[in-house]
Amino acid sequence: MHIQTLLSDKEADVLRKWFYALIKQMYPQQTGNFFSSEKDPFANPVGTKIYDGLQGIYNHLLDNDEDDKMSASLEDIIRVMVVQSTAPSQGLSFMFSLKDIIRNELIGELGKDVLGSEELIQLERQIDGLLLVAVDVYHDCREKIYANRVEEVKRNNFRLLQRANLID
Amino acid sequence: MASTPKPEELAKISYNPPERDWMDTKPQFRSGTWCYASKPDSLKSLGLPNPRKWSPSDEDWKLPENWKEIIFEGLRERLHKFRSLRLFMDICVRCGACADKCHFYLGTGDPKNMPVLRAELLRSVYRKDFTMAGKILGKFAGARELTEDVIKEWFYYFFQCTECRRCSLFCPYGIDTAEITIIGRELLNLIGCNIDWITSPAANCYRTGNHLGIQPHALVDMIDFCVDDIKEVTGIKIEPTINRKGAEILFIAPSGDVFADPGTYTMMGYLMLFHELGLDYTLSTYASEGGNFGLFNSHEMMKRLNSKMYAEAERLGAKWILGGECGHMWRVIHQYMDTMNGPAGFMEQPVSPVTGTRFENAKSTKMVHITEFTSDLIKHNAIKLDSSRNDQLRVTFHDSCNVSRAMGLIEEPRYILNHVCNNFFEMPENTIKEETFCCGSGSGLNTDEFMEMRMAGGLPRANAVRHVHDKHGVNLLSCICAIDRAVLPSLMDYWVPGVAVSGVHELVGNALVMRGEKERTLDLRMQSFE
Ligand code: SF4
Ligand code: SF4
Repeated sequence: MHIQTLLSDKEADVLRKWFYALIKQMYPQQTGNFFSSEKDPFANPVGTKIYDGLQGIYNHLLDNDEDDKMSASLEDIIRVMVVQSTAPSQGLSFMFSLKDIIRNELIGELGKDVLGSEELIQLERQIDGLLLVAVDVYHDCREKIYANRVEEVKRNNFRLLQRANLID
Repeated sequence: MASTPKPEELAKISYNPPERDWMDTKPQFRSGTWCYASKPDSLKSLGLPNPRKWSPSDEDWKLPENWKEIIFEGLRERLHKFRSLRLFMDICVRCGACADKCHFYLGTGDPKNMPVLRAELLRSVYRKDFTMAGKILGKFAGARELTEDVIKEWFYYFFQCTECRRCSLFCPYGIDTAEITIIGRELLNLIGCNIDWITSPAANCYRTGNHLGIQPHALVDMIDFCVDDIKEVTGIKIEPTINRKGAEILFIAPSGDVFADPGTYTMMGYLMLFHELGLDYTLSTYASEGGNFGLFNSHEMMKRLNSKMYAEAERLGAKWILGGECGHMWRVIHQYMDTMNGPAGFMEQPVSPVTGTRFENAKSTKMVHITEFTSDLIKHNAIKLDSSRNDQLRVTFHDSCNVSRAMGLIEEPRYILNHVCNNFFEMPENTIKEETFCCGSGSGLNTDEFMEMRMAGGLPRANAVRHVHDKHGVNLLSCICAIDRAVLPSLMDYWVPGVAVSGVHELVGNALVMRGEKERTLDLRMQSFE
């Protein structure tokens, strides 16, 4: 059986484990319980954004989609992480758990031999590559924050700048 | 191959400090999550205590020597003065109904942003020193000692509450955490722990009449820019009068509409409407600020800044006051002005000179909200509108906390929007009207150094906009608050790029058919209607 197909069948399990690992890493228990149980996306934007983002990343990974689709899903989560924690090492740590969760799923189904399979090695390389994309996305989001700070100050003083002949 | 941990093991790795009792967890002053401290000059000009140079990130906050005494005395005085405070301190049963209703909690996941815990920050001190159980049982009764760390925690979390009152909507006892934050900030003020973005605008307003400290001649210049832009768009030269004695109506807008983009377009909308109606009104360079940053400082400061509106109306001999699209300005007018500085016996009950409508609701304050005024005009067919001029816009409406939750102004702006544009879409029910989500930057927290926290707190709002953006192609978020107009563009840019922000009267200005206008090809932003 192809690893790809197997992992597609296992999507629900993998996502659940990945989601809980992330929530547990990032939030105190009480918050984690809320973020993972409230299903209304408007009452629980963080939990739903994270879940949808992980799902997107996982599906794009298995479908081998191009980078911009992947970036969009990564952004869903990373935008949240950027405003919740300053350090990328903390904000991006969720990417590390995916490999281990996948390995364990596969070992459970196919035995330890799977670890040597070319297909798995290839998939793990893809995940490593993803981490680099995630670093770029994180960087872009932080830049956006700084750019917005500057733009806002300008907007808030629009007429003053105009009066001083600094803008048209 | 190096052995990697199993997921179960991995899940055990915690990047968080170990779970501890909330009382023992100190806040971390991480940049982007706190606002700069007040400048000594601003405190001095307002006569507020303990002016000094300091920063919340310093170890030593340079508190006055007897700071504890000051806080206890301040709390005692307020418990006596505000029965609501005493009640709020005593009756919370910690049912948790409010816990997941605060946008700052939803956006950050920080448990101390749950309203119940925010209130507990003050309540724990109250319990220790003002209740018998607390005196005897201490921590077992949820009581704790007042220390400098507690003061730091108050500062951190009372300036992470936008006083939006969403939580109070869900509390079975009606406990209003915003009121607790207001008192918490007042107490902090007594020992000089306040933020510059609040005290400097308050000081400016006290001195010159508006938050930015714009002098009368500069204000007139800015109105002139508006007049020039209106001429370019419509071909009509309007002539607003300023500080004119004997005008029937004194119009007061938030000053942001005079100087900040995109508020300036809303200002154009007001002035075009007044011109078309031939209204007998005047602007004032002294009451040039509808907003009231005093509200975010203390009850006393709010009263001081608010009084200038009545003083100016009396000086000019106006019959009543028309107020622009502002948020907290209306909270002050609706909930406090009349008892603080009223009754304004020298004015008359407002009557629309165009339709003859008597504004019963404004009988006492003598102040009418511009959306009440305009929706009444539309209802009476008193203005001509071409809503197709806004056809390039797909509009949704953000209910600003202060006008929707604090004063119940919900239908008027919608009524106007439905007459000035053809594509209007509501966000989901549990994110609008009374249940609206705050912009994340209200109550004086709209400063740029607080950007990360603002983006986190604004996420629930932005998330609902994202929904209508994806579903209906919404490209404009309209609102009736100047702080919203200042902060939502950043929020949209971060979470929902492609959505602009406007006031409601900007869209009125676009649609308004004026006598003698040239063929209109440009909207108020000088962009083609196509
Ligand atoms: S909903 Fe009211 S009673 Fe319940 S925890 Fe919150 S403040 Fe206390
Ligand atoms: S008033 Fe608003 S910001 Fe403050 S605790 Fe309640 S919901 Fe949160």
